[in-house]
Amino acid sequence: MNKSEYELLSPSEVTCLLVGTMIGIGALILPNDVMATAKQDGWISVFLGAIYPLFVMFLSGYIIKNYSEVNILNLSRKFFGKFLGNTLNLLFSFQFIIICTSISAGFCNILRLYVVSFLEPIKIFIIVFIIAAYTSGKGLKVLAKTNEIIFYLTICMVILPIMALKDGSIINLSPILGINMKNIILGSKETIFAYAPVEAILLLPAFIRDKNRIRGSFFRAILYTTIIYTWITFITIYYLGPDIIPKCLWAFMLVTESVKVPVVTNFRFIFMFLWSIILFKTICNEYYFITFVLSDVTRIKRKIINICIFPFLIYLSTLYGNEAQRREIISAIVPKLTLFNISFIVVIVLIIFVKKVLKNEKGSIQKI
Amino acid sequence: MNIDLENKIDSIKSRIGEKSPIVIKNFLIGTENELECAVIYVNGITNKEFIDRDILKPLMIYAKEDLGSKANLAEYLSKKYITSSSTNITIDLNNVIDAIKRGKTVVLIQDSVDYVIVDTSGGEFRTISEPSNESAVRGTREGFVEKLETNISILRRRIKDDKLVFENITLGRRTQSDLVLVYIDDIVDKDVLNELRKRITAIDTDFVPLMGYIQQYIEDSTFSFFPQSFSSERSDVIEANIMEGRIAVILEGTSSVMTLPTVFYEFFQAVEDYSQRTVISNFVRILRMLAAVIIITFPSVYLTLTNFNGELIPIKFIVPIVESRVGIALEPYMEILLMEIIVEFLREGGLRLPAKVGQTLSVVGGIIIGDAALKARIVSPATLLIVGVVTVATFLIPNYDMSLAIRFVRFPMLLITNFFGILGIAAGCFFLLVHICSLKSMGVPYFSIHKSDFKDFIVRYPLWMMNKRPVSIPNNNKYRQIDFRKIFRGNKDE
Repeated sequence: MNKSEYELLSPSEVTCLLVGTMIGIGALILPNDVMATAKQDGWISVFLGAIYPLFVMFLSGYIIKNYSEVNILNLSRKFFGKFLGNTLNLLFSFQFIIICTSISAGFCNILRLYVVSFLEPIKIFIIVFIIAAYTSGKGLKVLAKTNEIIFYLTICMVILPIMALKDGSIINLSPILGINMKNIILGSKETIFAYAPVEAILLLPAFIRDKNRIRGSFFRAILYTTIIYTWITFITIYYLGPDIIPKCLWAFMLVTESVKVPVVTNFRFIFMFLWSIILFKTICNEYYFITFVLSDVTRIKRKIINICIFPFLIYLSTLYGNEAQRREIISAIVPKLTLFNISFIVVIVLIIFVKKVLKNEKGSIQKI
Repeated sequence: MNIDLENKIDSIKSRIGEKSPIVIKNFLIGTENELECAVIYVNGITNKEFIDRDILKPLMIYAKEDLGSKANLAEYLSKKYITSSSTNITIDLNNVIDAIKRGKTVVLIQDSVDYVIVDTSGGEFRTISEPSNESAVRGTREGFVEKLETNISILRRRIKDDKLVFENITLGRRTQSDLVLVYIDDIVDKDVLNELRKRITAIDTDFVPLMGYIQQYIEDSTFSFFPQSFSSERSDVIEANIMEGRIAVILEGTSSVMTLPTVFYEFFQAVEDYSQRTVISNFVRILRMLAAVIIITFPSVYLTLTNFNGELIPIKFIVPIVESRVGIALEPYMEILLMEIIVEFLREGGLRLPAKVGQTLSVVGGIIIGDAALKARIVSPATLLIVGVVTVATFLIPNYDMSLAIRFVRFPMLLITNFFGILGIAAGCFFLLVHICSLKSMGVPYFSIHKSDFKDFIVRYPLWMMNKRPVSIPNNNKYRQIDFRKIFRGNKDE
């Protein structure tokens, strides 16, 4: 019995964990986000949006190559000192807090609109965060396995709207590349929220079994996510067209109605049920990352943090308000947090690089 | 009586218990210098015919020589006169006490420090028969019984491999029951074996009457509703499990044999899956999975559709459902819960009843109560249909422990759905998924995804394609067969 196999993450689990961290509520609103600037070429913007996670992959690959047994939080303390390092680490966790609470707020909004209008938001938040705290408490391995199983569910869910192909029209996508390149690139900026929490990989190196295959797992995760996002945006534009999409809050939900099920009036109900499981998983991942960072910074046991942040996250989630307000808040905060995160990672990469160069120079001087 | 012999008998009697049903028979052997001997055994667990035929008759009638001068007399007697095929000579009194308690007979000889232990174990036991709780259309009729030696012999007959190991452990301070670990030495994973051995030998209790006790003593998650070890009375099932690298645990006095480590999906595999056509097996297995989903979600989905999301039911269905509910005082939740509880009453009641009375119960319960409940407007026909379908679906789960667990899960699901609607079902399903992923059996994950294990998971591949043992079960020997079909089918196999 290989005990490390049962404790550490396998390459496929790393892939699924990253896919699971990225794909959540963002997939449902992605067509709306990119349509504003990129119009019918929104799906190309989504595809180009993969540059951001690829850049993170390149940077994290460099960090993990040099420090495979420590996470970014340890490196931060090592390079910036305890106080500054921990402060930066806390700021790094803000992204997870914002994404976790905004997904749960979005989840609440979509649920209340489509299936559980009788439930008050607070009740939805309570059940969502009970599940998140329970799952997070079970540890990373269980979380990764859950992600792996739900990954297959996600694939099925995403493939199902293929039925919309017969009802949609290619005219909705035409003219392809009809929008100027600048708008397409600007559109890709809107996808940051969907790809954002991918930096979580830098928290995981110590828990990954095969360090040499991290980059491969990461690349596959980005590939799968990009394909899924591009497909979702493509089929939504193909089915609804650039004029209808801005009029719906969750355009992709309309596409799911193209699937006909005999006993239920529309497939939306089944889709919402299954997508709820996908959203639970994303919220659980973010919840885990929050507890991980806070436990590392405060040196309090993760199980205690797990319980303590529960009411705090519920409270934060209630602050987002309706869907329009939520999106406004996200579009105001997430780019800034992403900018901070990417700068944080870049600075760490630069420090590692400089240290390496200095070390090499020292070595060559000593040799001389 | 010889004082030395008397002392020995007294010390044996005091160790076994003065009030035990011990039988002591003194007799003389030899011709010129006769020697006094004694046989000691416990009444009821020995076969007296063996004692008379293989010990007393040869020693008392045929031992007509001067034995007083013989060196190593115990060995001489057991080689020349005691005709039993299983004899053992010892000087350790502990071994003697153990042997007597297990139905063996001890021969004591005057002036000799040796004890001759002769295997005469017997007593009345149930004969080998097909397990009534686990019948199979195409499978062996040979089920395990309560006698440990018989169970060992069944397995030994089925697996003739020279690496098959039977390892004895004694359990229970007062019962001192025998327990045997059975595994194939070059297949089993040694870490799992050591872990199991460590857990079983750590059990320190007065008695271990049933396998269920051991299962609960050694499992990881006590409060989980899912069974974390697999048990069966079928010898073919246990044989197949041993072949996959699991360890079988046989306990004296129980016909249920446990295998470990256990994975979630093995509870959905039945003997027939492997003995009938591949396509048919797959169809049945998918039905079984569907049944599990129906049991867990069907009442909850019905509740959410009738209680919260009526708009999702097509108009053709909603009219008869609404009509059937006119005049029913109870809420759908109470209605479903009531019927589900009645079904559980019938099931639990039926378990304890003799077969003939059980039929009466099913008639009274199923037909009369169901019909009366409808006429009294306590439940609607649609609810009764849902509960009926779920009840039928429970019979598709091949393992009793798993069937009970799945049946239980529907109650919390119903409760959470009553509060949260469809969100409750999604939360319940997600919780189940996380819970199953977090369980372990002997340190081995209860549920894990391995590509090659998909060959025997939701579907069952043709047997010749399953060359590897399941990866979920740690083992030291990956392959159980080779591509032998190439010999007669070539490379272009279907």
